[in-house]
Parts: sequence; C-alpha cells; structure tokens
Amino acid sequence: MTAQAAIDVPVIPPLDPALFVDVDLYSQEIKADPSPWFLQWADKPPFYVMIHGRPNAVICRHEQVKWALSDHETISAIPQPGWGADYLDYFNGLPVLLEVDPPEHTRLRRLMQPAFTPRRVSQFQLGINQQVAALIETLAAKNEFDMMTEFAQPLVYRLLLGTVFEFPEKDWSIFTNLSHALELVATVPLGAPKPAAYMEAFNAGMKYCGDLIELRRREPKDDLISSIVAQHDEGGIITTEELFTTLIQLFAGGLGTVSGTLGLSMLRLCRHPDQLKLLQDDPSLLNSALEECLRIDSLGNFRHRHVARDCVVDGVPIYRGMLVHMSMGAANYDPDFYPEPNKFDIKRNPRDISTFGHGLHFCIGNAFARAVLRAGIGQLVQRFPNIRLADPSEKIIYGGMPTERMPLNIKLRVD
Amino acid sequence: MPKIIYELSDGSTRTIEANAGDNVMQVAMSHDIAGILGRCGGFCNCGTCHVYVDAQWADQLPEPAFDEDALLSESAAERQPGSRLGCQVIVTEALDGITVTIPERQEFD
Repeated sequence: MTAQAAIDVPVIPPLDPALFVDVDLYSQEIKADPSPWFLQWADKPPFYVMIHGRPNAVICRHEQVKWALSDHETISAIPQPGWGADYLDYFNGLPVLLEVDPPEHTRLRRLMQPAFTPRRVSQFQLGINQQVAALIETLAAKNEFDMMTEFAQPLVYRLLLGTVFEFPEKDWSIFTNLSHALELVATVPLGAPKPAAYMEAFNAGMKYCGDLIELRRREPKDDLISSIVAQHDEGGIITTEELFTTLIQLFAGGLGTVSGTLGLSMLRLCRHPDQLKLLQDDPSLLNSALEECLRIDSLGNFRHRHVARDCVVDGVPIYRGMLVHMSMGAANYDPDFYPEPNKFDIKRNPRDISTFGHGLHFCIGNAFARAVLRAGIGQLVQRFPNIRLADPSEKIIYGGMPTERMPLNIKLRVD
Repeated sequence: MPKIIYELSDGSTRTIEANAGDNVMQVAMSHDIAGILGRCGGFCNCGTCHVYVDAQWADQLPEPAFDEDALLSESAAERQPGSRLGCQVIVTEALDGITVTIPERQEFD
C-alpha cells in the first residue's frame, strides 16, 4: 500500500444549505471587532462555513465549546492528512502538545506543566514587576509610544526568553522570528510547500534547540530544560521529535499570545475611559478588570479540531472528517453566562472564561500570562494617569494567525 | 443527595446539596462559591481549585493520582494534610457532609 493510498479522507454527506453562513472567519473585519458576529452566534446552534473548499463546523455557545474542547474521542486534536487543516500546521506536522490526544497528551503535558505552575510563576513575579517598571521609566521620557512594538513585545520577549529561560539577548531573535513567521503558514494554498521565510525561521529554531540539548548534555543544569532532555535521554519517555517540539513550543508559544493580549487589554481600556478611570481610582479592581478584558477580547477567536466520529450538536450534524472551529471568543459572549455580553464592565469579574481554552489543552501558560498582565497593565495605568490613544481614529491593523486577533499598532500618549 | 460544607476564607460556611458523582470544584463553581477558580474546567491541569479536606473525610478519599499530587505542591496555597484539588474529589452518598476549607488564594497576586 502506498502512503497516498493510506490517506483516509471521509466523504462528507450532503449538508443542509440553510445551516451555512457566508462569512470569512479570518477576515480583518472579524479580527478588528468580532463582537457583532459573536453576539449573533453565542446563543445559537453550530453552523457551517466553507474554508478552502471544504465544509467546516463552527461551535459558539459556552457549554458546547467546552464540550467540544473536552471530548477528544469525538473532536480530536490530531490532524489528519487531507482533512483540510494544512494551513494551520504551524509545526510542520511534528507532534506538538496542542495536536495530540491522550495518552500521548498526558505524557507530553507532564513535561511542560512544571514551566508555568502558579508557584513557579510566583517566583518570577518580582522580576516581572521590576522589568515592567524599568521599561515604563524609559517610556516615561516620551510623550507617545507604541503599545505593541515599544512595550508589549519587548517586555514579553525579555520576560520569557531572558527571565524565564535565561537565553542571552543575542539569541532572542531566533524565537521572535519564529513567532512572527508562524502566521506565514496560512498564506499558501493547501498542499503547497511551506513558505521559505517560515521554513528558515523554523529551522533556525530547531537548530537552536538541538544545540541547547547538546549543551545541557555536556553541562547539565538544575532546570526545566535539563529535566526535559533527561526524560528523553534517560527515561526514554519521549522521542527525539517530541523533545524538539516540546522545547520549541515552550520558547515560542507565549511570545505572540501574551504580547497580543497586553495590547488588546490596553486598547479596550483606552476605548472606555470611564472604566479606565474606575480602575485608576481603585487599583483593587485590577484582577476583575483583567478577567473582563480577557473575556471581551479573547486573543484567539477560534481553535480548530478534527471530527473523529459523527455527532449532532444542538440539532446540527457534524461528520467525521470535518474541521470544527470552536469559538472561544464567542463563548465569552454567551448571554446565558455573561448578561449584556457586549458591555465592558470591569466590576463584572467573569468566571469560567474560555480565552485560555478548556480541559486537557487548557493553556499551560495562563498563570504566567495573567501575572504579566497584572504587572503590565496595572503599572501602566497607575504610572500614567493620562494614558490614552494618541489618535482614537487611527485604524488598528490586526495580524497573527488566521484564528487570532493580534493588534500591530496601538499608539498611546501619556503626557 | 450528599451535602458538601464549604468553609470560606472569610470564616463563613456554605452548605450545598450535590448529586453523587459531582466534584467539589464543579459544585462550588455552579453555586458561585468564592475562592475556587477552577480555571481549566476540572481536568487536573491548573491547580486553582485547591481545598483542604477535613481529616475525618480526607482518609476516606482515594490517594491523589500523579498529576494531582504534582499540582498540589505547585499551587498558590500551601500544601497541608488534607490538601486536594476540588476537581478530583468526587462526592458519594458515603461522603454526605464532607467539609472542605477554601484557602485564601488560588493564584499569586
């Protein structure tokens, strides 16, 4: 049997045309402000969209998103060749944690889990606070700065690559380049080779991990990297491919997501000066305010998975072989859970938000992201009482992966 | 229906009637009991539903499995005898009246 013949691409039965919605989930309009769509979808059954010529299902209600994110036997994380997800293959088909089901998932997650536990993040908190304060003082000398390129990105790069992983600054670009290059994967047609600029960044990241593994073998340290290498070398618990992908995810995974979330949160506060003032007047509202920012502006609009067996969700048939997009963003607007979901209310203190996912694949770095948000947003709004958008009419451009809304330009004034 | 008694960090007590098979985190979340975050939704993945099970009940529970044991040592609240993740404590009729104390915090500020 040839490799080609072994590919199993199920034929999708005819679907009810009335259940299709003609929308581009990845459009700049949805990235810029998904709320009109989320308000429509968050209390409705799933629907279908066409993406790259194949029908995909979209699930939006809070409870249904949670179900879809947790029933891996029905909605699997494992990509299948020919099912139409090539354009979302950010790690060249390698076994990344986000794309495996148990039992492999359990084994791999245990390697990464120690990186960002609440207790470990707390050990970094002082360093996080100091780095934020130092960066803010350099910005205080200016009247105007860009939240993304002058605050969020340099801060998160320094914290993750410098403070947490202790890489020399000269090496940071290996992973920041890769983080930026991930979105290029979606720019080529299905089945086409990956873009050259992406491959160059990916290979550089893999080479760095290879060199690091060799370095730790020669000079072991009492750190997470050495312990992961030992799981391969001594424990035989992970394969060489898994060793590489575990490291590359740890080093690159949070760079864009945490900086993007900082940007979205600051943008939201600046667009709601009454809420910003409320927070400035009562810093004890910070945690509640940040949870509300995370709720109303999930960086990830959607997370895709692969339907492993036929199912019916809220009356809508979803068939094996389809891709499903679970909308974490829309789930955060479900009126059954969040009354007046479009209202930004920093006193809401929302619980059970879907921004970091749910279940087995719940974001490992969530405690770190929250710690950086607390320090970054908390200090910015207190240090600069007049912080505001430099030009409220400036159009914010959004990049990032197709499924996420990464603001690229947020000019702030602080005088 | 087995009752769960939650002792909150402000000294107050809430008693909730649960269904056998429910877990301590899920019941707290659905009754808006403060101090349990349950960020991951009950998959032993985040360590934000730490509770202290009273000694008379703790002995009746199965030992923590590997992932729960690892997270209990890494959560924000100090690990003590009776420390469990609420999502891993499944109530049964035999546990009617189980008393759990909610720690002061589940995350560091």
